[in-house]
Amino acid sequence: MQHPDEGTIHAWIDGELAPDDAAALEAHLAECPECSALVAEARGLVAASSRIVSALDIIPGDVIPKTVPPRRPWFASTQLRAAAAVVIVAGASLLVARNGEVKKMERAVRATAPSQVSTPAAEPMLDSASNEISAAPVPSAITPARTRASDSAPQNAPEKALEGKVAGVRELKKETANDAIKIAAAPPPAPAVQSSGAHVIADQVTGLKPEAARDSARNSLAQRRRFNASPQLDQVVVTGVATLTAPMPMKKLRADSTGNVTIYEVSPGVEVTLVDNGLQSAAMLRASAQSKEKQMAMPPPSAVPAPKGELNSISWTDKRGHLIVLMGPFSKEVLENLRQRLPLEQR
Amino acid sequence: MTDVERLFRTYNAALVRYLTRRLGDRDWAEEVAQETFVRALRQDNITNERAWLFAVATNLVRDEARKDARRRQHLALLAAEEREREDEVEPTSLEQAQEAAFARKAVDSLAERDRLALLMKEEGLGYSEIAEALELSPGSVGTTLSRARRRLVETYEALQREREMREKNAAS
Repeated sequence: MQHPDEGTIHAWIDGELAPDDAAALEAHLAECPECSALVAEARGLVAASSRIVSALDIIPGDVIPKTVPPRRPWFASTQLRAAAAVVIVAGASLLVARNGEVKKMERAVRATAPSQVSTPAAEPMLDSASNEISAAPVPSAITPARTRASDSAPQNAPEKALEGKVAGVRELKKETANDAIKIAAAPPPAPAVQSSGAHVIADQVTGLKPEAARDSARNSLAQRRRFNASPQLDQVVVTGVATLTAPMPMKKLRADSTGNVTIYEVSPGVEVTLVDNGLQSAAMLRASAQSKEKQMAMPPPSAVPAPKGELNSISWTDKRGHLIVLMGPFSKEVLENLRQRLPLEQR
Repeated sequence: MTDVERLFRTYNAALVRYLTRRLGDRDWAEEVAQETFVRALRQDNITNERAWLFAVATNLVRDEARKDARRRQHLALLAAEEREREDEVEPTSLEQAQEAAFARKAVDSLAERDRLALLMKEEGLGYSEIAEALELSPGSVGTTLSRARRRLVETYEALQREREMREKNAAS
């Protein structure tokens, strides 16, 4: 027999060769190592082909991220976190530029590098200040804003300064426990804030009393070069919210393919996410959100503390009966305000 | 049990798998398979059932591909939506997904006749059935299959090598 062609070898492997032809081929293979090698190769091709064709049946499951919103931990997006930082910096910049009084404060904000929050020098001071003042009446409505530049010993600071500081400290603790907005970088107009790590604490500020804080700051901290007091600093009151209270239309930035998730722009660079869960009942959604909470790190819509204190969400049922969840780097109050700027049918 | 029911029960799974592999779209494949069985209803005297069904299905795909690209797009869209809704999809490893993508590319690189012959063979059709369905001479099926297999494996391996090269470059 001549050397068989490749088609014949495949036909033989497939069992499709007529018995006579098969017998002749087998006899040839017994004495032709070259053709035996070809058969071995052909067997490999047959097996590999089957395997490759079977691979066509693999239907991609979770490899490609799904567009269904509840399954995706969207809030982990660095974009969103970056956006949160941007709005705070932007708000701070605006306010730094303002002179005089700041009338409305909704939030205490610490402008500092995070590592400095627990500076050994700062912590004992916080505690001792709290203890000392716990007996004293808490200033009622109006509390002067303080820089925590008054990091010096409490006895050096005027009493009034101390009061303010303690109120600020309390506020700071409260906010930290909840969802204080943290500023990682200070706005350019107030470089002193960043370089010194001074804490700017404000609460219901209507008037600022700069002298005491500034003096004490200069006395102690300036020497340690931890605080480079700037006259401007007295006006540095960071709300992170002030930019939002101005009537600004919510611009629809984009929506996902299902139309269930919509990103709105609150102000340039700041976004909130609206999730339309359709006609699901609220109870159902909460139940499913809670069941997924552990594995997905997904907060139930009504969760009070947002993950890492940076995001909050509110939820409600709109006029069409859809369960809507609005999420963003704001307090619930602000989110409620933003809700009023949504398209009518989703409010 | 009517004849068409018997045909359906006997051949539907293989036919749908063959068509899905051919089309990359399960919904479309099922639609074509159903149409194939409907035509079988109207047909008397089918000598080789399996070859006949695969031949008709293959021709349906060919015709439909020509005349109705838009409908196909719509079906593909529906299928994609369906998959998104499916909660029970097995999680796929990245490796598996990669394998499937390469397999699709390698199969698509084959000549149409080679591809169909190979997919039919994988569904268990014999050489004579393949020859009948594709209107080939029975003697040429071995050659067609050997060409298809070699080309398929070589293309697939080339794709894998490319990826390995890319990964190596990325690592260094």
